[in-house]
Amino acid sequence: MDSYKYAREEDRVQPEGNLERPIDVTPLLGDWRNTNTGSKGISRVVLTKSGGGDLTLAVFGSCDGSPQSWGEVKIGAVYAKGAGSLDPMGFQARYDFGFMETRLDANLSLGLLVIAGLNTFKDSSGRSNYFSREFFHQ
Amino acid sequence: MQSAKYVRDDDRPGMTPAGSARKIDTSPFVGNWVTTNRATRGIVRIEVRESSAGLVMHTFGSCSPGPCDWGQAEASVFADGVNSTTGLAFSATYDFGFMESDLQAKIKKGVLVVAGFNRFKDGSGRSNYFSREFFYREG
Repeated sequence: MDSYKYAREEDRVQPEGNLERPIDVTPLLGDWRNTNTGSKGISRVVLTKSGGGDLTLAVFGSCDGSPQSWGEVKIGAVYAKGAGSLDPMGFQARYDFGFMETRLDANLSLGLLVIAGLNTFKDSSGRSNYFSREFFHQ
Repeated sequence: MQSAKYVRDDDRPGMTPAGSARKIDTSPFVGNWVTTNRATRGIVRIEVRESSAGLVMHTFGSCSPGPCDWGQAEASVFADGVNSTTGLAFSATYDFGFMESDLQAKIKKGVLVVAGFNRFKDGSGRSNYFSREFFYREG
C-alpha cells in the first residue's frame, strides 16, 4: 500500500534508508566548456562544492568573443535519475540580471552537460523571451 | 548604437525597435500530445491550447486504473531568439503540494520533448528527479 502521494507511477517509490543520503553530485562538478567554440551564448560553466556542501555555479557568457562572468549562484536543486536513485542527472539555477531573468535547466547526457536556458526579459527593449540549448564537455 | 543590456551576444537585439515584447507564435504547440512510450510510468498525455496570456497545458500522469489528471497550468512561451517570434519552447510549473514539477517542452522534428524537474517537498526521502519524455501529435 502506498504511503506517499504521487502524480504518476514514477513517483511511487518506497524509499530505503540510503535515500536519506544526498544525491552524489561528483559527476556534475568541474569546469565545463561549450562544445561550440563559436557560441554566442554561454562559453563556460564551473560547478564547485563548498565545504558546507553547497553547490555553486559560475557562468561565463560569450561577449564579442571574450568571456563575461555572470557571477556565482547557489544551485537551486539537484536531480537524480529517478525518485529512488542517488545517481545525479541534472540541476537548476537562476540568474536575475535586473533587465532579464535566466533559468538554467541542466542535465547530463552521454558525458555531456546539456544546458537549456529560459530567458525572460524584464525591460522594455522589445526583445522576445527566448530558449537556448547548448552542450558542454569537461 | 547598442543600448539594450546583455550578458552574451545572443541577447543583443540587433535592429529590433524598443517597446512591448512581440507576441510569439504559439501555434506549433497547440494540440493533443500523446506519449510515444505506451508503457510509460511518467506523463501519458498533454493537451495544449492558446490562452490570452500565451498557452495553457493540461497534463495527465500514468496512474492505475486511469490517468492522474494534473489539471491545467499556464505556460510561458519562448522564441528561438531575441529577434524572433517563432515559438521554440514553453515551460510551466505544477505544484502538487507534496511535489513541484517544472516542465520544459520543445518541439524537435515534429516530436514534443518534455523535460521534467521534479522536487519533493514532503520529507518522504524520495530523490528529486529528472525526466525526459517524447510525445506525438494526436490526429
